[in-house]
Amino acid sequence: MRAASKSIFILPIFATLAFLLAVSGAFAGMGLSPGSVTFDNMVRGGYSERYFTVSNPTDDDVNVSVSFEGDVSSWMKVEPANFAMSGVTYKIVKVTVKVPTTAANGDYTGRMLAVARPAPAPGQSGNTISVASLVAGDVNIQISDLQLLRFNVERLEVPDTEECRPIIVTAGIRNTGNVNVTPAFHVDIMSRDGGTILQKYDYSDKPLLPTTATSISLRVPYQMEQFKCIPAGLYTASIRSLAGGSTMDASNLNFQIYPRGALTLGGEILELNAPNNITLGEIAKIEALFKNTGQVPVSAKLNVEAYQGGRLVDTLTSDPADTYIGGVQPLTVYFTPKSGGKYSLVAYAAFEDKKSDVKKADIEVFWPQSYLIAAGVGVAVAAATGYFLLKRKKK
Amino acid sequence: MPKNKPKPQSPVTALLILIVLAFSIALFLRGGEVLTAMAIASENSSQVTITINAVAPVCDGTTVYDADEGTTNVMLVGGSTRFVKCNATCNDHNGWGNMKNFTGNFTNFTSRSCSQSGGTIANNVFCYVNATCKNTSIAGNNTAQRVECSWNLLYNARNTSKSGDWNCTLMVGDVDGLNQISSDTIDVADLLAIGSEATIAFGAKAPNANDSTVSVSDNVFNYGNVEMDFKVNASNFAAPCTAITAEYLKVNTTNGATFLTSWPLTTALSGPHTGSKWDINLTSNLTVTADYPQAPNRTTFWGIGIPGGVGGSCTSYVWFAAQIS
Repeated sequence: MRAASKSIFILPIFATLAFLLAVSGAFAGMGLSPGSVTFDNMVRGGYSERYFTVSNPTDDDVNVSVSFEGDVSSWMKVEPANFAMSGVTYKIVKVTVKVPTTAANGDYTGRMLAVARPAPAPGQSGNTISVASLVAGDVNIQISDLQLLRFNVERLEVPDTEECRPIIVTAGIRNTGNVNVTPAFHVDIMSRDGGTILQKYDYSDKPLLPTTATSISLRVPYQMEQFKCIPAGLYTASIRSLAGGSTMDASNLNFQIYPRGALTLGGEILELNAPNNITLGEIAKIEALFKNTGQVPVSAKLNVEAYQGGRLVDTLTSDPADTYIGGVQPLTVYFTPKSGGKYSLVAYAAFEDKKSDVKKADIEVFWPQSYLIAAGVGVAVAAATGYFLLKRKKK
Repeated sequence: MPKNKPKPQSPVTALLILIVLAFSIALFLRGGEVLTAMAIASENSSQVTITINAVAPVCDGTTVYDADEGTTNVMLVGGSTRFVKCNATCNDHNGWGNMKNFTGNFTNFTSRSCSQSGGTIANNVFCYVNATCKNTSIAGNNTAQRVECSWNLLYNARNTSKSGDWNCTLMVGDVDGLNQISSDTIDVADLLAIGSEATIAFGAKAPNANDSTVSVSDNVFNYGNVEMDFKVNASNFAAPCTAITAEYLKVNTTNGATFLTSWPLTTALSGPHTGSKWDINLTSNLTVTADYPQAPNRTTFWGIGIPGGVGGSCTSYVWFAAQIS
């Protein structure tokens, strides 16, 4: 009887229960490309990576999370895994696989799950059933004992240069095997008629993970012998790429060495990025994006002068970095201020015997809170001591 | 008084005058550097006529790529487009100005015969024709031009699971009526993509009742380029409505269904990738030709039962899940 009367009391309240009424017209969606993937020829302890396009096909904002399920879920990682997307946009995510050293040979399966949840509408509250969109891409991983040591040369260039300037060979390579590969190159610089070899050069890069790509820059010496540069003329670079002693690719590329001064050297700083403020004791990363606007590859360095109150207090220089024709290269220095206050930074790039125009930035360096407390305590102690001494003197 | 008759010239004098006159003319012509085919005195010269044959343009280095990301494969974007470019350097040894007509097609291998004038299939699923092509001269080169064609590749451009399944064909013609065709291929990856309305609206409901008389709908769209299996699942309602479990939510995804006709209608919705399963069949939509075609879609119909003893603000999630068939 008591229960019945309670129900009678509660029902009218719940009779007003409403499910959702929400927000009509809003959409949510999710896209994944490729929609399925196979990591074949992997080995125990092996590594592989792929890129996927995650897209929002609808006009409205969504919150996205990407994860894995199945046999292989603990082997897989995605970056980024959680992010917001505006309507009709896409984002590239990187998926990596690390096969445990204890995994047995065989075929493994799993799924890559990309879920889009509609972003809450302004003022939206309860009584809603939100609709999430989920796409499940099949993932297959094949593990075997077959080790493949190889890489592809996807790009190879030898730009023209000038006498007594470096001959720069640039190569874009990708590890197409399933184990780490250490790419090596042998370069012969020959006269165009194929006769004399004027320079020989060997280069070995750092190990490259399977499926990953990198860009390599080889600086072939321009001196045939001491104080004698390879003269202006038409030449051929015979380039052989090697992995574990086996030839991966062999190419002959023609290039020209011009007399000194025939080609233009040019460069500019596109952006100078520095934090607006830091706390004393922290290190400020200062990065400039340098663009080679000339006709020859250059080796560029970033020089930064730090001024405080108009007084030069520090100079910083980055490591040199080769920058190809039309290429953009980040150049970085790290600034550790020695005191608080405002610093003005003047930056320019130095390349060969030239300088770019300057770019400026300011950094405000705050004193740490502990310093301020210590200073406050010091002032208080000094005041108390003074007061004590003054009082004692009066006595 | 008889008039004075002119004295007749002696033949020798006349011959001398003729020789002097001819010599003067010869000197005049040489001094004026007038080219002539006429043989004069002891000089031998002749008119040189050369007929230069018309040669067809030749295109090298044809490359097709995803211009949005600079990659040599295409990962499509759900419900949107991807910008694809195809370029080459074309030479006409009659001079770059000889090249006049630049066109490009981008086609799936299954429909290479499509053309602007109406091939077997001319739509944005298999066939992109009549591209916008640009031609630009190259500084210092009097025979070559850079040719670049581009397309906005729609999300439903079909993947055929074949390496290099899309083909870019550049056609360059010259004033002599000679043509050159060059091509390159690229992979277009499969795209699995769905979209739907973001909420399901039942309106006001009384507790302690299974309501099969009012059902609501939500359209689900295939924004990808593959057939997909479509699945539904739901979460239990969040506190304070935890008594409303996923089983209280009912869906009918039968093709052609218009509303819920009995209660309960489907198996319970619980756990990922379970519950109803059906296909949105893309193959029935091949003739779509508009720039942004209506994506294939299916209407889902929903009902809900409300147990007793619940109230307050109730929220839940429903997942529309897609997987390649």
